[in-house]
Amino acid sequence: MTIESIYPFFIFAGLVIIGVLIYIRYLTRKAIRSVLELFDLNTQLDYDLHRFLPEVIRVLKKINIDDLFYDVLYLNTALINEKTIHGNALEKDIQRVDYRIKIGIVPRHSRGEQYYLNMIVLEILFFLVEMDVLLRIKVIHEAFYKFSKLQTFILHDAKNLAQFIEFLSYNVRHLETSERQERFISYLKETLPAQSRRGAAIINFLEMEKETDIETAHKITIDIKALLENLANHYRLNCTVTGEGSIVAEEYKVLSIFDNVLKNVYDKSLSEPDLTCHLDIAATGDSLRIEISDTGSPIKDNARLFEPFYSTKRGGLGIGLFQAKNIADAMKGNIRVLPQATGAAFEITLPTHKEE
Amino acid sequence: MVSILLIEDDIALRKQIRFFLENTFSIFEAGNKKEAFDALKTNKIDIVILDLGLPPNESTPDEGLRVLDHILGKYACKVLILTGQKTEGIALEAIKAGAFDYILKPASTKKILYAVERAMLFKETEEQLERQGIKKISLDVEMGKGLQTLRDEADKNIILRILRDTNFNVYQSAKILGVKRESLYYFLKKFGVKRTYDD
Repeated sequence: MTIESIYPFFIFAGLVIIGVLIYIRYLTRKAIRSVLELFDLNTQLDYDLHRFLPEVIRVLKKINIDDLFYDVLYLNTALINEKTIHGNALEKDIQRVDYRIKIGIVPRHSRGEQYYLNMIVLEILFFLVEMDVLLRIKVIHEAFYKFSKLQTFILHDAKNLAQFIEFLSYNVRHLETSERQERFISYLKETLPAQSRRGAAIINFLEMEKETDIETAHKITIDIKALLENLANHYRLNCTVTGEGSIVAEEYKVLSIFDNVLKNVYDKSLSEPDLTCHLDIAATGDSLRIEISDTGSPIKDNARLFEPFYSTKRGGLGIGLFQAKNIADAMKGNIRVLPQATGAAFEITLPTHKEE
Repeated sequence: MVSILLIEDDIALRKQIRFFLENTFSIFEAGNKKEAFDALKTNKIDIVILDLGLPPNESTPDEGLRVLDHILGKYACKVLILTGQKTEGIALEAIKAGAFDYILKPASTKKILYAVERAMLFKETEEQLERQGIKKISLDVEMGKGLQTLRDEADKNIILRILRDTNFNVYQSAKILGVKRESLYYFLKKFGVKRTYDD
């Protein structure tokens, strides 16, 4: 046998290898396209398994998978689709404390290379479903946790308010002498600003992220210096106020911004009795710049300060500064933390709206 | 006149409670822990009405329970808890610490007045008995642990009570208890008792 007689064999073997490689490339590309389609579909359907899983078979049929069956159970929610076609199925399941997932596919062919591609498709589909389940569980758990925090906050104020009304209705029926009548009125006068702040906090809290109708909003001219002095007095802060200025806005919103910021200073002052603070008001063009600085400890976790439900305080709701920033943003103003060598400082900018 | 300290961070509510009680009692007020400690230091307080949700942790009972511990460790007043913190564990903890009563907000004025009058009666009776040389002590013991635990708890309780009454004067306390100073030091070491100072 001469060497020339082997050439056709080599040529044939080479053509077979090229043909196999082209075929595998074709299969792989088809499988990758389908997998990417599954990712897109999951995103388009908002990672909602109830909408996603029934649509999956449409994509799988393009890569010769004839049936999809599943049994998914999480947080008392069940998603079940029975196997409808007989054939060799590929299955995967997992059982965890919070959920159970079982997914199976019935491919038309399961020979050689097709088997491995089918396995990859199944693993990726399983991964997507498990991620969706975990996402849903996390969202629901967080929703419950946040709801319970909100409930605690509202309940605290609601119970105090109910207790206040109980005493008020008793006291109002026991104003025997003129001296007691005068004292009763003086107590009410003294505490009305606090009640008004509480009302503002609750309204802002419940109205969170809801824009007030500008046309119907009740706006008045607010003396910022007087408002800050009243708040500082209420919290008994060792405080100085410089500058002055006024803005036209809804009073309860402005009150809520400064109350939330000064409450933070007050909370800090309870464990740092030597803390002093300084409030500076300055007009800059058509806005007012208010700087609130204190000599206390620096702000922890600066980057997450305005994140909702994030608090460094035990039992803290983590809503105060988020709310203050939301209101300021809605008023086309801003709140930010100023870099400080010592202590802490906030800068609040609010439009004056005096031309309106 | 019996004096009452109101420890409540909600000023509007505090003023209404004050108005409700001030005709009959001498009233002092505090809105946080520091104000409460100052008021206790400078005045003779008989009864404390304490809200557990105090700043900076209004939604937890932590700060209120700290105030309660401080009061019961240093003063002989009766503490009525008036709070919105509705958890069985918190009530248990407060009563175990020695609170006289635990009232949940919102409560009727009648119920609060009744609790105040009861606290007053107990306080007066205890003072009367003390004048006769009889001291009332309270014990929290697990019955299954036997008599030794009970005896230790009783020893500890009476020693703490006498020390508090003598402002931690070991010489005077030993004299009242009828034991040597060395014996009293032995008990202090045994029970891990150290003098706590005001914050």
